[in-house]
Amino acid sequence: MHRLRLISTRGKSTLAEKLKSAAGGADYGKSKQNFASGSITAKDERGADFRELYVMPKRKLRGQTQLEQATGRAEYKTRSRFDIADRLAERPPRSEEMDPEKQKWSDVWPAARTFASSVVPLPVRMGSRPNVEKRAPFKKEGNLELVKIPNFLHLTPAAIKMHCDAIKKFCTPYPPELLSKSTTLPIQVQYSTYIHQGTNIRDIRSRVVTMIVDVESLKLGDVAMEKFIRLAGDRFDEKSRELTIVTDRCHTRKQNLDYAYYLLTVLYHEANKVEQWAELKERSDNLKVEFEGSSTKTKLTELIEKAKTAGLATDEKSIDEFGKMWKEYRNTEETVETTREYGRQMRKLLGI
Amino acid sequence: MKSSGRVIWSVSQTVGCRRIGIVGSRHLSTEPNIQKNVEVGTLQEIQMSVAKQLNMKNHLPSPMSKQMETLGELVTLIRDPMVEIASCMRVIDKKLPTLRLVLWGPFGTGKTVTLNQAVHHAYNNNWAIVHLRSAMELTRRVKEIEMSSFVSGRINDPSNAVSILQNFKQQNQHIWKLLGDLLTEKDYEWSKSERTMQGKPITEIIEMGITAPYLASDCVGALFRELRRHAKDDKLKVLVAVDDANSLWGKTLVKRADRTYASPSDLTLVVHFRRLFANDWTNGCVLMVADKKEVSDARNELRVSRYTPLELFGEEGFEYVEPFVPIETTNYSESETDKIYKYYVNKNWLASKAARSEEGRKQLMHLSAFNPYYYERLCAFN
Amino acid sequence: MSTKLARFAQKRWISSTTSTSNMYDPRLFREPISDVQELRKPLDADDERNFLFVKAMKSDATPVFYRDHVIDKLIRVCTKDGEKETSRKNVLSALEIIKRRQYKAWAKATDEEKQSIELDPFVIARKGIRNCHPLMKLQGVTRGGTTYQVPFPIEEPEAEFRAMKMMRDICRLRSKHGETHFKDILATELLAASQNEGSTIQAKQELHKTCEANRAYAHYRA
Repeated sequence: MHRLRLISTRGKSTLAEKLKSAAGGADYGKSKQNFASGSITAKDERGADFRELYVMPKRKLRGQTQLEQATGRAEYKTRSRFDIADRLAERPPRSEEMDPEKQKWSDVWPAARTFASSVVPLPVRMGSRPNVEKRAPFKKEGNLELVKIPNFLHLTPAAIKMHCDAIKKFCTPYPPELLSKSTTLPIQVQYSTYIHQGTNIRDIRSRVVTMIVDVESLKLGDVAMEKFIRLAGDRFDEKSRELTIVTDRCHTRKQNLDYAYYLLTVLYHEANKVEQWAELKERSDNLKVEFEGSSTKTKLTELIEKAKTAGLATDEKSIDEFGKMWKEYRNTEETVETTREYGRQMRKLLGI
Repeated sequence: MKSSGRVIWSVSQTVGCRRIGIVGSRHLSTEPNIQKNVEVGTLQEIQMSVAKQLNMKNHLPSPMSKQMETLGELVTLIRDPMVEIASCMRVIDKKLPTLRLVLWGPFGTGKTVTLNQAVHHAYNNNWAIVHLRSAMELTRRVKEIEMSSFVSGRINDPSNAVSILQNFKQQNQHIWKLLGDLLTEKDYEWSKSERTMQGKPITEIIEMGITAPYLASDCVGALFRELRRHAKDDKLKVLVAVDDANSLWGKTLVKRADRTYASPSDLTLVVHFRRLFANDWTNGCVLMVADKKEVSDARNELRVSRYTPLELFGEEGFEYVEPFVPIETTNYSESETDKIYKYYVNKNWLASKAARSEEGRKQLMHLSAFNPYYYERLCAFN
Repeated sequence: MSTKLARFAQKRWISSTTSTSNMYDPRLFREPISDVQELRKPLDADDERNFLFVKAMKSDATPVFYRDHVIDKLIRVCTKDGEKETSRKNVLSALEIIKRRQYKAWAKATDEEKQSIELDPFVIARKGIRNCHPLMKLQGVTRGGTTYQVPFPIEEPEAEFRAMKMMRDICRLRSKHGETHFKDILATELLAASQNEGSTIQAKQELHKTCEANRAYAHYRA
């Protein structure tokens, strides 16, 4: 409808008239008709038509015209293209008529769609070409590369803002209890939901559930705690005292979440069990090397006793401090600094 | 003397510091056999005769012993670790259990050289010296083995045992007479025909070991036992200096009859040396070097091992040698490189004109990254 | 295994010339300045290095105080299987050996003799190589199906190269792994050459003799 009306208005325009006349539209072939209908009478006495002798065609031959044109005796005749009418019926690209200040872009491009060169008023260019330095990338018209890539022209900041404003009435305020840091909840569950541009609402990654548990709030005893740490393995972070369980073996998120809770429960109860063989544990089986009761401590106290009799200015009180340092030294990764610290404490202890 | 060990240490430190400021040129201290303060930053000359007795040619790192041969003298720089060792040796007493010192530090910073300086210091103070060139020789370079008749399952190493005894004899010539006066505690029955009776001088044990290699390993044990006993009785002071000591808890290349590798605790000599490190005797100083060559694998370029004592000794070895005082050897400071540089210039060792220029001096310092080993290597061809 | 692979990858294969293309795009990269004095001066305004990238400095072009043209070239000539570090170590230890020998002789000598003993190993090596420079070279020329060894004159750099190559070949021939080392022989050879003695000098004279004998072929040179 739209198209048709446009054509009709165009058809009335004076420019179109002029073009038609230029193409010889209105009186095209009039003289020829006159001639054929016998307006020029040339008959002989017997009433027969006068038949001219054909010597050469009346029109100028092409060679003649070309010669005249070349020598400047005749003028070049400009003709408009044969499909001018069709061309005039086509609409020019929409982007050329756009006024970016007055129109709303989100009305033009309301949802995700593939790139259309006639709509997007940006002079974008894209594409690889053999000689990069000599040629610019291809322009947007008819450029398949631009069509292939995903675009986010519907997600302009203005459009997003508009969307947000529209759905604001459905939102509730964030719980203020969670804003303050003092209330750390013992169990955190993390999962992700994925949205695509496409039609599929499923994503394989959305089933993964991560559960972070604050182990201190499990209130485990020393023995149980040690067993818990051993069972948890590298899921337990010693520094933050947190247990991290990642479950992804079931198909749905709910199943995985259930499984994570199941694992936590099992861990807790298993840690609290005391088996018979647990009593066989020796000093060397400890998770950490302890200073109390170590051979080093006995040797040191002995040495200090003897050093005192020998007259060295030993510092007995610093043995606790030394023990603290020793424990850290033995249980963490050894570095040059910790070794130096070890030497410093040892010298202090022996009074050298 | 013993009570004021700490004071002397601090004084020598300050004196040393002051001297660095004043002293520009080389100054040598060559009085032998006198208990003296070891000062930081001095160039100490070890007389060639002494160096020969102490077998420095074998014990020093090869570039250093080559240097000794070329220059015809052995001059080393006294650095902080040596001063610390000297101050530790000063407090050694018959009531005080042996002090264990572990020298540690990156490659080429002078662990072995400091060890040799300490041996020289002990020589100056008339101590008995038990010096092992490298503990790795006992575990990795065992040429011939014999099963021990003394303890079943132990493996004797005659050639290394003989060389230990010979080395002991050579290095302790300065107190040989004194050692001759020390008597054995009990009868030693080496074999059916050979025995050492109670009340004989302990030098006899050494001679016995040297002449009869198949007894040498046991002789080493007996000698160490006697040394510990006499040290406890304050007859003499003993310095035990073991290079690459962490190898005593490392890998071995000795194979048992069932073709498995023997553990180091199966080797007689290793056991004897470990006993010297133990806490149960007095009046001695045990100086160990923790060296990376035990754990580093030349074929594994990706692994960079640490050079810290716990890493090198391992848990077992570490607990055995504890409590010890770790002494770190470090790279040169600028003033120290200057001292060495001036010494080389005075000796005309730096031959090229470029090296003698100011630019050369600075470049030598920074190209070697202040590492003593690389500094010497750079000076070697310039 | 990995190290072997890495070494394998480092070696340059087949090509005996400099590579025509490398990781540096010739349109974007320019040669670095390796002289320290030069480096301290500001760049000219029309120097391309003001706005283009500069190549990384080569490992044998570092501005150390002992940089020496002859020694660098000797290291390159002695390199085998692309292991330049090994060759560097060999040549520098040869210098060390020279220095130690000279120093021992110097320490023993009287004061007058000391003046005449050269201690700088670089000077000795330079002189030794200089003495080994051949004056001509022999090159095969085929005329009428027969190849003649024709004497040709040579330029200074090529003479230097041929001197080093002669010396290197002699040292390689004599060094047996585990018994005699390349560095020892190279040191002996350089010392001898600096006094116009030794096998390299002999080889040079031999070459001169052959050139003299083949003088008749000189007209084939064109």
